[in-house]
Amino acid sequence: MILNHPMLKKTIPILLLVIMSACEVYRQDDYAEQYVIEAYLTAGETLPEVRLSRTIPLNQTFVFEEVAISDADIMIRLTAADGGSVEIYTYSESSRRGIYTPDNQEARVISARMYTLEVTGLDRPGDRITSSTIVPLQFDIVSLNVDETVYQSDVQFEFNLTRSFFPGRQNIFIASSTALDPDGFPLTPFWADRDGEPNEYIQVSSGLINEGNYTVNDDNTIDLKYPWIGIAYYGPNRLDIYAVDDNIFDYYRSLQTQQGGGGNISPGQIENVLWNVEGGIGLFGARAGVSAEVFVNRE
Amino acid sequence: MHLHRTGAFICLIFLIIFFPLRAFGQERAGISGYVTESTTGETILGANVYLKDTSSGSVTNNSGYYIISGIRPGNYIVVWSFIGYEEVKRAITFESGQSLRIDVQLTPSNLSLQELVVEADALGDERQSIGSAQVTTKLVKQVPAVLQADVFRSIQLLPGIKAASDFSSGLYIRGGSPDQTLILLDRTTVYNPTHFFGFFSTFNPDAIKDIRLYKGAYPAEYGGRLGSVVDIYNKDGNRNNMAGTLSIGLLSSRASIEGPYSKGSYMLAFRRSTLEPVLAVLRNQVDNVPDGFYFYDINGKLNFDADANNRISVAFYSGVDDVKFPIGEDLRFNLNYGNRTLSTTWTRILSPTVFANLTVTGSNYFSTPLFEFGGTAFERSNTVNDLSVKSDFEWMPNSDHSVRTGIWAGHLTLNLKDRFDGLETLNSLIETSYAAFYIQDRWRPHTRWTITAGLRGNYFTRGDYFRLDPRISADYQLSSRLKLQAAYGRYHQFLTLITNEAFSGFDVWLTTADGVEPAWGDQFGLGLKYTPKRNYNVEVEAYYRTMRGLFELDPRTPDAAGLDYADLFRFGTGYAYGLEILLEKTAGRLNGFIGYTYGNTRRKFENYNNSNFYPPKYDRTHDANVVINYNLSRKWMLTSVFSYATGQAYTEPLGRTRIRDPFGTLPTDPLTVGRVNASRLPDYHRLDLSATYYSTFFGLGDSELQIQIINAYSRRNIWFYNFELEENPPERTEVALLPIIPSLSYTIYF
Repeated sequence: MILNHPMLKKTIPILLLVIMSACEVYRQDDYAEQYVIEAYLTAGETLPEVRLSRTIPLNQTFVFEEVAISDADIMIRLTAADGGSVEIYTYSESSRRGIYTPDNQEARVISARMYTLEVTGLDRPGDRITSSTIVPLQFDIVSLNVDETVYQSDVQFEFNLTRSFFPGRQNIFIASSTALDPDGFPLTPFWADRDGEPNEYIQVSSGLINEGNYTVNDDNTIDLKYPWIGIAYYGPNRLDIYAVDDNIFDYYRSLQTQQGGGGNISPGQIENVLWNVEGGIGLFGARAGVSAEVFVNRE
Repeated sequence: MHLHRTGAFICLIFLIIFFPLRAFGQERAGISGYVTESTTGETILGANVYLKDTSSGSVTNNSGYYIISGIRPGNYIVVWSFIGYEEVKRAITFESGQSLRIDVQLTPSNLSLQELVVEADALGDERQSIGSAQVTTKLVKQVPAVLQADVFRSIQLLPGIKAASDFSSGLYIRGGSPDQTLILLDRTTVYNPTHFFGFFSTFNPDAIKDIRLYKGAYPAEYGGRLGSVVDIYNKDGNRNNMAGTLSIGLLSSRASIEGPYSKGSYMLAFRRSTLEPVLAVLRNQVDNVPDGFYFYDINGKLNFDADANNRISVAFYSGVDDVKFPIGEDLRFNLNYGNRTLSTTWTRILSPTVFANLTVTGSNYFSTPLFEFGGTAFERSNTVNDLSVKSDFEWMPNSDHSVRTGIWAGHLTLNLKDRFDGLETLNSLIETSYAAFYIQDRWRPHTRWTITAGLRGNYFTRGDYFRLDPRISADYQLSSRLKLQAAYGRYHQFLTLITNEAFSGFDVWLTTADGVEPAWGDQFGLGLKYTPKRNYNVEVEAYYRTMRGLFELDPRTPDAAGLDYADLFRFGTGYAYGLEILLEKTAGRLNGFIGYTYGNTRRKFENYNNSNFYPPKYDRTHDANVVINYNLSRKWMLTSVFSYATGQAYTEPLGRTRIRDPFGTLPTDPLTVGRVNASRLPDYHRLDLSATYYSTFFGLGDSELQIQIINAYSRRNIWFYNFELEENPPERTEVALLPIIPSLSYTIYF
């Protein structure tokens, strides 16, 4: 009998032992509730509201008011290059639960500066949420080729822009359009084809676009052609082009991977979102943008 | 250079092995020649040739040629054999210094109507080496398969090889992803060997002569991939008579013709989808049916037998998939992708102990997807061109040594162009040259021992990388029925593949470069091959392999424009280990095999899963396949395949929140997830049945009517969970794999 061979008598138990000892325990985590923050700084605009809430288990219905957190201490610090605070903006809870507004309603967001959000006074003593961001450098529209064109004609809206700046990487943009008269004009064909209600597409966006897609002109401006897909309604629209910070960049690129897959992501593979928040999750983002009003005619 | 202590030690052993090469004494004799099949004249790869009652023997190489040298003068019985064929024996008297050239034809054995499915010989052929296997085209045609008899689907039944899903023919071998397997057709690399977006492979079973599979620890003559090798050879063509096949299926049909001509033979095989009528019916009943879809492939080979010592062959392959898909009024998708290969091989017998071949190959892969949505077009042009020359020499100085050496050099061009909204957003042209050499000796220091040691050097100009790969394996014949095996090898890979198991039509290959070093890994294997009695085989193999310096496209890179090349990637490591068991009955009315694999594979990438190891989706702890053929009568053959596998890994969403989108009306609904791939889908199992009726077609030729039922008990295996985040709370739906599918095909052999 083969198994009686002396060499195998020794080898097989050792082999089995090695294999069994190599078995690993890798178990799924249990759900753990987390704090959620939400605020967006826009260069040149007043300080934003801050929303504070908790996560819920996947199978529960999300109602913000039910998960909103009250009575927290929130502040945003404008930080100097050496890390010290230049200005501290305190927040107070508004009449709406979990939504906090700045005490200083006049202060405006300064581009190319670092801001830090801090939240304390949470449910558990010692809990603290922080997140920092740098506001991209404000840029401007030098020119816009036309302010009215026919949808999908040869003439697209084309911006000539001064350049923004973000430390450590190229500029990254998100273009978005907002319909200014959605009741008066219909959806463009691509958006009309979708399943949702028309009012869900009043503001739509392009997704993340690297500056590397565009040619930098000799005068250090760039020409940015506005994609047709980024316009949901005929008629009057406001076109916005934003340069975004790392927090927005990380959030949207990882959210796209989590919910859109693509690339080398297998079907059903669910990736985590990059939060850039200590002590919780959420998005403390910053952006600098320009906008122009245009009119889109039907073919 | 990753030549650590282990590698240096292997090199030392390698030198020791080579040192004692004895000069080929004048008094010794030798014998060499081709072994072919009597009915077709096709060369037989891996046939045994040996001198009875001695330890002298050899095995035919990839050209069907054998060499035995160092024979002491005297009288011998020389035996030529191959499983499934009648043995040929001849009494031969060898005289001093005599070199005999004897070409032999083997006749298929009547007793082996159901020949074995995974073959191996007894003389130390590489296909019986640790980690290797051979799949016959008969198995490929017998096992039930959706749409088409398929080489890769059949390979997926072997232990150690897993399928990602019913929809993917990708080979996940011993924990490696598909790009870790080198796929060769007539010695030419094929970069995207799929049809129907990955559903099945490009290789037409009518055209194939031989499929060699090295699951791991593969020998030094191959390189460039971390894991494994699938080496496929097309038929040379019938050298005796004109013959052909015509096969009509519900979804695709095939035709082939082969025959002799005055200076050699030819073979031409064509396959095309015949889906159009089905699509036309569906189009009136179901939404989102393609406007047009077809695939085809053509395989051809022409052999020119210049003289007894020189043969030249030209082989080509061309395959295309084309789909036009209107998804909505303002949304369309077109894709055209495929491969073309061309190779010319000159086979020359330089002397009675030296065999050589020279191959010039070209391989082209192209993919041109176009998405157009809302008047905004995304167009891609993706091509890979690989031109190479390779030469191999085999030298058998004596009965103890069989030396192989060779070179492979080429130029690889990868061109990726993207246009978004009419503007060129990416124009990446990667050009690199590569070169490799190897030397390998198969040494039989003792009748019980066979040691194969080799060294491979690889050079890649992009990034200027030179890497050495030592390889060694040892076989110990414990008894006539029992062989023990061990192997070690180091492997480097200079390419990585961006692919998706659901859809292979967008596959993009990328290479190393400055700042992107080649991936590398070590493989260790232990094996046992046992033949309890005639026609029964037991194989047990354990393996452990490392994967270091893995580089793959960072899935969180949304836009490559303006990025440095190295910034496109994430870098990581991995490992895999497992135990494979194969129980096989190779002949008789009831034959088949049971394959079982216990395996684990893990990956780790920086800043992903908290930089901890995780199982990739295709990791399956237990995997078993039972293939049974039953010869009901001379007219009927029944085949069943049962597959079981642990459910695949997936990452479970645990919680959620809702965050307003500052760029859109609708909020976003991000999920909080647990550990990466720490949950498992339900176990997978499926039974496929096939019945084949053998008959004749109005006396013109043999015919086969094949009736198949895929997933006979309609198990709804789960491909993945989909979460409808538009719902509040989100709804989880199960996306199922194939339901029960009946299939019918009729094949005529003339």
